[in-house]
Amino acid sequence: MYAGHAAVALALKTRAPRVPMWVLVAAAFGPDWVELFLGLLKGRATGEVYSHFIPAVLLGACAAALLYEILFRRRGGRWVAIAWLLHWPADFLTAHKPLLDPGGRVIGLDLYNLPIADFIIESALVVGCAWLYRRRYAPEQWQRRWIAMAAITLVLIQSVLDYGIRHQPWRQWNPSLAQARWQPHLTVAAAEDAASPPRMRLAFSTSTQSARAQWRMTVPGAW
Amino acid sequence: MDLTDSVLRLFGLVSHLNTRARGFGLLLLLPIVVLAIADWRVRRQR
Repeated sequence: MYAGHAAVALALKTRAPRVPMWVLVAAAFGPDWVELFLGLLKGRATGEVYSHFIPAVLLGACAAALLYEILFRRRGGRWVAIAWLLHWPADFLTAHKPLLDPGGRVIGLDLYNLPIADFIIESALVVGCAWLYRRRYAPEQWQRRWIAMAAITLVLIQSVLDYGIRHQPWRQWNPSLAQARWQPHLTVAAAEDAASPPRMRLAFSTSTQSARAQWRMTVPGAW
Repeated sequence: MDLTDSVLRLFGLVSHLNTRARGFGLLLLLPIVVLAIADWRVRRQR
């Protein structure tokens, strides 16, 4: 998720007026900043794992909250932590990253590879959160204009990103909750059957001959 | 060579500084700038 993270910061700002906006936005993109710097130091794969894996996200959120309260000498670190933590569910929705497995197995609903759906969801999030911000802080028309311009800019950047993804030749939607890679299980099974000699996959006992016969009838090409 | 290159070279990271990292960094900076300016303008006029 891209513009959606910024939208989360806009929404949190309505509850945390004393926390600077740039801090909330930076925290909402916190795991991505960690990924960028760790990627520079250790390589992209390491950067992804140690930035988006749940314990890393929790650790980053606590560290960011603490750092904020120390540097700014004021309360409100919990809002920084919340902005950081909300990065995880947002990325689960749109990305394909090692969110649950430090071994590098990636999960996520991968809406990036459905760019139109991604654009609709992220734009709706931006519009909704901008509306919350506007209701809280911008009663005047000329104030609302600034919020509208910011929201339009975010949506425009998102549209450029989604347009780019849409025109990637290797684009394939691979939603995954637990797999490292999406696998068409039925196709794999059929291909294995074709390559190997016909053999009963299940070990029926001699007392289940009727089941074996039924299997032969229902799968005529299996023998 | 820009400032980023200089800093990264100082820490021996220049070999990892590629186009992707620059683009990623720029993308992360953009929303901070956009929303900070908007919030600053709204609060200043509030």
